[in-house]
Amino acid sequence: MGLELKKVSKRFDDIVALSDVSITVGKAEYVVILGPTGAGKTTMLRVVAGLEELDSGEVIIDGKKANLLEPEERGVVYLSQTYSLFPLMTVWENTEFGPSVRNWDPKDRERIVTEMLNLVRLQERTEALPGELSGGMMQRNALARALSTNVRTLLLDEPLRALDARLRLNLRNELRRMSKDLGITSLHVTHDQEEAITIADKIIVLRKGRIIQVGSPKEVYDNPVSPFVMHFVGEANFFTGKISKKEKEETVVACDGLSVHARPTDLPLNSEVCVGVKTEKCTVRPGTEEGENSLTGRLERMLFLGRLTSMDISSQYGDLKAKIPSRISADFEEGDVVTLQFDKNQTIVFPMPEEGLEKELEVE
Amino acid sequence: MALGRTILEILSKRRARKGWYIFVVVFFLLLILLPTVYVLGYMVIGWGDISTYVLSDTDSSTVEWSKYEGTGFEKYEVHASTDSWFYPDDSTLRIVIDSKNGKVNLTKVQSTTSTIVTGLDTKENYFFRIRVVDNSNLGTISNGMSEDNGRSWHTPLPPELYAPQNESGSVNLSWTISEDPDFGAYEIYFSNVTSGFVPGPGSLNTTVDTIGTNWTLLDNLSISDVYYFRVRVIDDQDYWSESNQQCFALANISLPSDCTSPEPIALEYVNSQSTFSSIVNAVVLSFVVAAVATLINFVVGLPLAWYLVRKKPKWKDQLNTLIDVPLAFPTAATGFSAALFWGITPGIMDKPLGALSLTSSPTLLLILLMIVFSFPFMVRPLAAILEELDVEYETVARTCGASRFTAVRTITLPMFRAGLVTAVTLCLAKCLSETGGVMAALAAISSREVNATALIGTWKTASLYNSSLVPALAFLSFLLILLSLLLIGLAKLLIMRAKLPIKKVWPTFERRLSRGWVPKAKDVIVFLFLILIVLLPAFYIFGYAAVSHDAGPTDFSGLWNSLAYSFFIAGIVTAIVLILGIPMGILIARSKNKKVASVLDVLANIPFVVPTAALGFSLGLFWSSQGVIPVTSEVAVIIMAHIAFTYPYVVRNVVGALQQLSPEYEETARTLGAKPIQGFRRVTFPLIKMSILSGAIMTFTRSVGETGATLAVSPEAITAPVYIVRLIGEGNFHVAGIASAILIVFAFAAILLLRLIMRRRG
Repeated sequence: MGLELKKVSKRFDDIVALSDVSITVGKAEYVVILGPTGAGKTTMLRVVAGLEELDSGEVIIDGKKANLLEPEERGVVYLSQTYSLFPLMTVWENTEFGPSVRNWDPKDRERIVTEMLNLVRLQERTEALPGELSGGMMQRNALARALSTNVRTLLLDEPLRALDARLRLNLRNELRRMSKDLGITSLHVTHDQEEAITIADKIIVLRKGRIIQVGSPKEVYDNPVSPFVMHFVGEANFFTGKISKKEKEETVVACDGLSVHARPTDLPLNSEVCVGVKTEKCTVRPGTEEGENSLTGRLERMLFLGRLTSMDISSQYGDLKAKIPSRISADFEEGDVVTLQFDKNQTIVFPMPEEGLEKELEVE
Repeated sequence: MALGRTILEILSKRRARKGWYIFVVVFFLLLILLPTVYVLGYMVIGWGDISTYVLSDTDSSTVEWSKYEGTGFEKYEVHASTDSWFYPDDSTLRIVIDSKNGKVNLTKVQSTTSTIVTGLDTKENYFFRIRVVDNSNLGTISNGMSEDNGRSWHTPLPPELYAPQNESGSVNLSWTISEDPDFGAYEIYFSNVTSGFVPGPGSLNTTVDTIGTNWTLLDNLSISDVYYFRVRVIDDQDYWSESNQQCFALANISLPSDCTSPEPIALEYVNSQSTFSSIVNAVVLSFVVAAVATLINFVVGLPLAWYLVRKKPKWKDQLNTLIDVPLAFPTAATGFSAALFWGITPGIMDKPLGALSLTSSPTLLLILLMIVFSFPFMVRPLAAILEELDVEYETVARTCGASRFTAVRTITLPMFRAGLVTAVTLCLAKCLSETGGVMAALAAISSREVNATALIGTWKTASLYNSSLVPALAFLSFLLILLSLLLIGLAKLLIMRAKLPIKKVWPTFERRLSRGWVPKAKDVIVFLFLILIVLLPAFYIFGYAAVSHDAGPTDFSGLWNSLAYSFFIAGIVTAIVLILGIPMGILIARSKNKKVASVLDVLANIPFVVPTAALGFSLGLFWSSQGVIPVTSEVAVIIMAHIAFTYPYVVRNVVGALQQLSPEYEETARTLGAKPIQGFRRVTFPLIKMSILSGAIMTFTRSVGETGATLAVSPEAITAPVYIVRLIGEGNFHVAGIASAILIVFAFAAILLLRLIMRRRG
């Protein structure tokens, strides 16, 4: 049950949108596809919905091969970024659309539509046209329209993108709660890592048409499989060098005169690697301090982000970044000499990416 | 309803849908596009004929005569010879105008009074006579004329011989008096042997040499014989014309049935011109007129579009409707109207107040006419593109210190080249394509000069009796299509490449242009132009229809028949174009295969720029020369021709509307469970309904108003505009005026009705 893609590939002329993608989504699971713009996320949804034909591979919906099914035969509803509420239909008519094209009994239709509009709290606005609704209401109307078809699987394409920040937080909790309550399988696309982490049962990281990592939000956050994932899901500092020492507890990497201590790794001694540590896991102290994973540099810039403060530090090993709790930022001033420190258990060794680190971290 | 549902069911199947799209594309390619450009292929197949009849030194001679008004009509014969003394016989016979073994209605044949003779040697001087023949195969010969309309040689007009009278044993013969200034004598011929004798020295009886004597008494005739008489008028150079034949018997015996020949008719006009140069002259006239009219419309249309979009007048909607008037008016009616307004109209009896009677120059009149016809085609696209351009650029330029004129010239104008290309293309295409209005206007001022489309109409009509005109028509159509495509391509290239604007700025001068009286004067001039040059000539017909009096037959049954015929054709055409055009539009706008879509897009627009008369001719040629689908009905071919040139209106509108509409609506509808047809009907259609409606209205009005394509397919099909053109040609201005006014009113009513129906449906 649920939804499965097997070795799916799709090209548009010479652009590879999906390459050999396989995923499994369990019934009533909430899966988020996370990736930068152009990663193939939307294509993946459209392939599932039947709006794009595959070059190769299989789409399996509820255990049945669905490659040749028309979109209307698949029992999945696609919610586009702009909601695509039919402009000339009222809230009620939009919600009734699915039941009416199925020619359901008018009594059932009325019951279902009423129920769904109550669920999304739009019962007061049934006669409004989409143009008269706020962004949040349009979102909820689109959701009601999708749910009124007895849908088993929802495909959500950046459903929160067009909403303002506060509403986005409310709605994303609501989305998850509603789909869990109704037992709906959800495939949700976003490029916002925070949104992905807070809403998903499972995250699929997609990049350039390929799946990079699949795992729970915690796994993806704590154990990224590549520098890209580490950097994309929360920013990170990276160093490059060679493994100079391998031990049971740690790996030591020689980076241009600096020894970085990191988690153990399977990579062989002397191999070219890069080492990353999330900026949120770095601490900063005033003055010069010696010690393991301690780098001294000059505090160039401080940027107040609210709860956290971001610091740009220039050191002889390159420009580094740290995010520290804002309550201790008062101890610092731009121009100070500071020491940046990080824990070796938060520091991860990756094999050197083939195309170089810079290319690996590019988002576009 | 059940049938509709079944169709819905069938079309929801993926394969059926694909099949339907394939059908639509194949139908378009094979039955619309291919016939439209078939004449290009004919250039290869028919090259031999073309070089014989068009490119070699051969003439085409226009011959016109007075209609035979008598009874028993059978046929007209056109004779030509290089010998000025020739007596018409089989060797001089060039064209027979008869019922073609019953295929053409004899009354129609009898009212044919002109034809084109082809294949005469350019270097020789030919002499023409017409012979009218009745059903007892007895003929009467007209006067004769040389091919330069009788300047180098002509004979007196033939006299009419009246029925002989018995005057106490003698025969009294009387005839009409000759009015020839070079009168020589009347010669009386007779035979008692055979009807249809050829007058000669042997049969000469008497000569009467006083012009005022119109009778003579013949004695000494045998009492038992039947005598046949003819009278000739000869001039002082012995050039003759002969009368009809009469017969007489002194005894009370019954006369044979073949004894009186038809009353004589007059050859009125002959003009020979090399076929090739006729074609070239007509084409040149078409292109000069199109270019000048387009230029003038641009100069005036731009400020008007500007006024509409930027000044946002309160009565913008009304103004838009007025600008669209030439689109809704059938062009034959407008052409007649404008010709009455501007032209010196020799045939007219009652000139109403306000007719300017300024010009008898066909070139000038056609330019004035084309300005009216193509005006909306210039203003509409310019206004549309101006609407899209952001005013902010101009505002920024002005805050940077540019005067309004400078800002517009250097910032805004360069940005709407694309719109200008559309406007100029449509405007040129309209001017090059127009036939009905041109024929009506030229007939109204009795001009013999024609443009290319009118020449196609005239020649096609004549080709019914002279099939050797077909190669000339093919060559003319080919030339017209080719040059239209070239001119439009060239205009496009010029506009896109031209180094506009001039970067240099003259601040003081341009500032002066932006302020004070100059902009006001500009607005005033533009509005005067709209009212005086565009609207007044178009509406003038109503004034004329109101005041004109009976002059000639006032039989309106022909009008009602032709109106019914036109509306019948337009209705079917609109329905088919909608059925075939909407899927084509969807295919072009929504196909995943962008290459195929863009190729189809270009192809679907070709009929736009092919002049409809050439298109109609090409189509007629295609249908008559293919043997696969048996098409016997001319109506079917006319409908196909009308479909071909109206097809782009619906396709363009659907493509335009869909391109502005996000495909997500349809996709969402489908994932919500709607079948493609349901999705289209419930979601897409309501959103593009107005565009489809305007496409349908354009299709309907263009079909009702079309003359060129109809005439070029079949000169026998009397649609309303063809009927009007014909009435004007026959000089029946009174009925033509009323018919034009009625046609306009009906076209408007049909548009309103269509709008109403579509609104109901929605």
